[in-house]
Amino acid sequence: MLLDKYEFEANDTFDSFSFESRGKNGIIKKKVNYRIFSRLPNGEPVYNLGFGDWTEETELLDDTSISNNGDRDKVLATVASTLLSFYEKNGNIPVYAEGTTPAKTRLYQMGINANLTEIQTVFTVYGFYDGKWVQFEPGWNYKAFLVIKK
Amino acid sequence: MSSEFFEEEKNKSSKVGDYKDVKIDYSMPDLSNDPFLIRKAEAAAKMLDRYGVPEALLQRK
Repeated sequence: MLLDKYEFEANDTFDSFSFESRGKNGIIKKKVNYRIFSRLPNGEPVYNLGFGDWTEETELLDDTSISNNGDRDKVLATVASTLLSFYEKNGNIPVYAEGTTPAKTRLYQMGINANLTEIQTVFTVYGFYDGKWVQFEPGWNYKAFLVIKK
Repeated sequence: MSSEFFEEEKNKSSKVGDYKDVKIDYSMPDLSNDPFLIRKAEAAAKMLDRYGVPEALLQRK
């Protein structure tokens, strides 16, 4: 059985993606954006993953809302799929991810934890813990994540 | 998430041009000035400036 995920659309540079979460609270527009924010010493770019609800009225992203739409795994799977699509077009670039709040970061961590074996077939995931980057392992509360495609 | 899904994605990602299967929305709003995304990127930059990146990333070829 294949993992359920939402269909998504990309912009023409494949660094912004949009999809709709459809759950018990209705339809919630989501956007995933990858933005360069740093470079490694060798010049290789590092991108930040920004993810949140899209507000039509303001045309702004919001990561502070808790949509509680009952489709967390499907949403996280869709975000993972956008990451693959981003890599496919833009190359294997390190991507940094951190929730806006510790609760959001834990949500990301739960998604990774629950599917770690499968995720590690595609990605190498590092977690930031106690002042340093380590290979992601279950059971630790990380502050942030760095992901690279294998 | 099933292992079949990730195996399929892994295999798929090795094929040139798969990203073209994703529908492109040419009217997608430009998010370059989105304040939330700017804040996130600035926070990430501070984090990496202070703590660096995993050593394995620096040794990657």
